[in-house]
Amino acid sequence: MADEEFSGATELAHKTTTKIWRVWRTTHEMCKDRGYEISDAEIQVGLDEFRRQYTGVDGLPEYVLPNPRHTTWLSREEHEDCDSRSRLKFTARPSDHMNKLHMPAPTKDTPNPDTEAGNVWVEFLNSESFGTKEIRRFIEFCSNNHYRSGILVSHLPISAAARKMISATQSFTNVEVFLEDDLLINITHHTLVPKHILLSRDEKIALLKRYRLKETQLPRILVKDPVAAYLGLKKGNVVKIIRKSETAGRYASYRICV
Amino acid sequence: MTDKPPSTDPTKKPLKGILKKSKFIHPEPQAELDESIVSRAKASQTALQHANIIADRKRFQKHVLDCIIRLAELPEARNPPYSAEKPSESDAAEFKALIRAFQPSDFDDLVEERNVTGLCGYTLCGNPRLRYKGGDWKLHNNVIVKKAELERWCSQDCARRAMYVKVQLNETATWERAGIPSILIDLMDERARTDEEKVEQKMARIELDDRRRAAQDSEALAMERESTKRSIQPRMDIPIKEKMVTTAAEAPSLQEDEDADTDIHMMIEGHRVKTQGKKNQGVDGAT
Repeated sequence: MADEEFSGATELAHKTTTKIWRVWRTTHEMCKDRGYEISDAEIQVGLDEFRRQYTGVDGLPEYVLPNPRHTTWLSREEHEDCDSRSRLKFTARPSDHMNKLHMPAPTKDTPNPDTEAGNVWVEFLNSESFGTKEIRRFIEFCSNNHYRSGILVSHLPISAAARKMISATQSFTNVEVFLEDDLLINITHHTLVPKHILLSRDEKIALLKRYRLKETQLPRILVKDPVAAYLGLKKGNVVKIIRKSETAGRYASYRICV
Repeated sequence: MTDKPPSTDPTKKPLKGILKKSKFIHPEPQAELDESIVSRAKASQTALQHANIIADRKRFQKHVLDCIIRLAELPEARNPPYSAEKPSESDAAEFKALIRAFQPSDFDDLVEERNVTGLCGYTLCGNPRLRYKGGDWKLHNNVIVKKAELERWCSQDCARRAMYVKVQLNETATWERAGIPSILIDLMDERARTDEEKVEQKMARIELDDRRRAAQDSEALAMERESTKRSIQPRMDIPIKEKMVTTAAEAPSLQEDEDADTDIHMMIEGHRVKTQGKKNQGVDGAT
């Protein structure tokens, strides 16, 4: 009986490891697509390699929560013992291309403005609850360590108050929250998802001038659109969308993020 | 570079435009400038007003968020003799003070936030919330209920206490009713059970005589109106002028009415459209 239970637990653990490995890879790909400096070697970590690096000595992942053998939920002390997703964190620098992409408009006071792109901090939620306490810790960590943006990947849905807190602090730290389930596969690799390319400020101005448009006259894309969330678009960003076309070969359209 | 530009040659007459002089007289440039300055100042003032309104709202939203975070940590006194039924006085007072700004939806957020930390949804209860094993649904009192609904509280009593508070909350947005003192929240366990208790509670509340109460009520009303006034800015001054009547007043005559009677259906607000008749004539001529 005990053996059965144990093997069940092991199986679940392995499943969880595989799942987290896929999320880990998608997260890296996402950062690369946003323009951060991430090498292919970092992305193409095999499952065995991932197990070796991020799981315990016995090959079992450290992040098996909640323990299926527990009928009740873990107490606070037990939580802290289980160092579940604590090793899954990384940081990345923006590439030169990304720096140029996020250059703000020059003003009279600052004719040569600094880029708005900065280092990103990515972390996996390492607790059994996701409320204001966790998000506050994350926001404080990001702002104290001068990360321009932070990405928190969670296995739990975020509470309403915590979401409000993110939007309240949006002006000084740009924090994004993703669900693990949403990152199991990379949506941009799907055949039906066209290529989205973020335009820089100058390119956007050139586009509006070329077609004699106002911003409001462009087609729109929502901030919460999966691809917009993947690329971390903000209000006012314009993306060029390149589709395949039977008649023209390629067809480009533009959308503004609202 | 030695050639002089033609315009500087003194012997030639100044060039004359071939266009007709326009009848439209341009307003004085100075006046135009003044007007533009005034309108610009007005525009910036309006923009500032709206920005202030938005900033105010944001401040209130932040206040509510802070309240949620604080209330999610209550109660301070969790051990006996204190319980959800008999909370410590400081906890109850803080709860009543902070909950005043809430809308029902904020209250739901608070319950969710407390549940996330594993506590019972009712703020003055320090017990952990219930946990059931099994699927999404649960049989409760012969009714099938969502398990998540049951798991929000530690017991049915706490659920009832929380609902007692929630129904007292105001639906209007926080910034529209901030500072109105008449919003008071009662707790379920404070409500009087016997007649004697009821009288006692009422006596405790009648501390003001009628006149003072009326003054306070009108003050609250004025504040509410003031705040609504503030929210529908900017106001414009629209002068209403009486149109001068130059002709003498004339009594309506029967003759005129008979004349108009034939095509009275063509009248629009007392005005007859003339082109209609001409068109008809044209059509007649063609046939």
